[in-house]
Amino acid sequence: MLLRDEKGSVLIAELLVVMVLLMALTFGGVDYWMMMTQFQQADHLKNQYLDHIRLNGCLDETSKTVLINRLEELGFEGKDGGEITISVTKVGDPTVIYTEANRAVRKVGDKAADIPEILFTIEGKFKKDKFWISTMLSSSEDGIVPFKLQGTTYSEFVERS
Amino acid sequence: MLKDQRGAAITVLVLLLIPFLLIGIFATTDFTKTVHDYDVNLQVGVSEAVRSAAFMVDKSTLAQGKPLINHTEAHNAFKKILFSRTPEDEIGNYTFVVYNGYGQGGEVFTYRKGNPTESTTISDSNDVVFSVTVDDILYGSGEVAVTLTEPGCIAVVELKSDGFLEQDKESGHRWAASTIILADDFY
Repeated sequence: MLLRDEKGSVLIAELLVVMVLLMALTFGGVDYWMMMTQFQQADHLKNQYLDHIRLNGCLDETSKTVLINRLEELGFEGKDGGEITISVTKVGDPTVIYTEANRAVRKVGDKAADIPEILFTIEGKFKKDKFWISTMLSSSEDGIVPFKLQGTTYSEFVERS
Repeated sequence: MLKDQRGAAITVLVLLLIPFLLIGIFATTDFTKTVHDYDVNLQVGVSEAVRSAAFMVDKSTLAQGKPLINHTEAHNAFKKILFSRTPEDEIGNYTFVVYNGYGQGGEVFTYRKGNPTESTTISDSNDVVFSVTVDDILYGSGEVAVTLTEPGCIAVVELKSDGFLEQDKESGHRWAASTIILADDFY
């Protein structure tokens, strides 16, 4: 019926062309949303460990290993086949690295300006999971995206003497 | 397409609908921004600032076993942390109370946008109740009451965050309190 009227099958042909475009747009959105969810999970993990750093003045080796494992479970990996890079440094001075041996300590009697501020950075890359339609239409070959998560906090670790 | 019998009615309709859709999208973004600004940034900022303020203890008093908070330094720490979490120009006003007890009294710092910060001293009493209202902290019991049996700080902060659509939005308030609790094995 539709195909035999005066307008012919133009409408159907148009629809088919537009459908492919619409599908690509829709699945592009879903792909983006999936990537953001993956990223948000990592962001929550970062915030959880930032709290840890706030209370301890550093990130101890055990927690660091656990954090790397949890990130790897989510599909994150280090750059060039290495490990995910995690750094805990002083804000404005990346040469001061806070470790278990050198914690960011808040001392009783210090001034407001002396409160140590810590910068927490996680760096690496992750693989995007895509729908086949996006894989067909997109140009990027492997879909590996670098990521960097950062957060700052004021140390609340007090040394008891 | 535009020249067939139906004319351009559908196209015109779609064009008319687009501005409404855009307004809808922006309103949703506005809502998300508001929740983030007040419930995340301001609330976390105020509680962190108040906690850091209570930490500004004079070392000599700690040695005596009765830690007292240094008023000026507590206010400095409060401002430093609050302004690092929320932009300074968006803070409408705040009231910040440092109360030491132990017969030492305390101090109230009041900031109203456009005016310099005012401070008034609080007379001493061993157990003091403060009531937190929308834009002030009053002496005495009230609907939201905080009792400080140990040295501590209370603050209520008003934030006026910029929106996407409306520039003059209603403001929001958040409050927080903190006290020093001596560890059991302190003595």
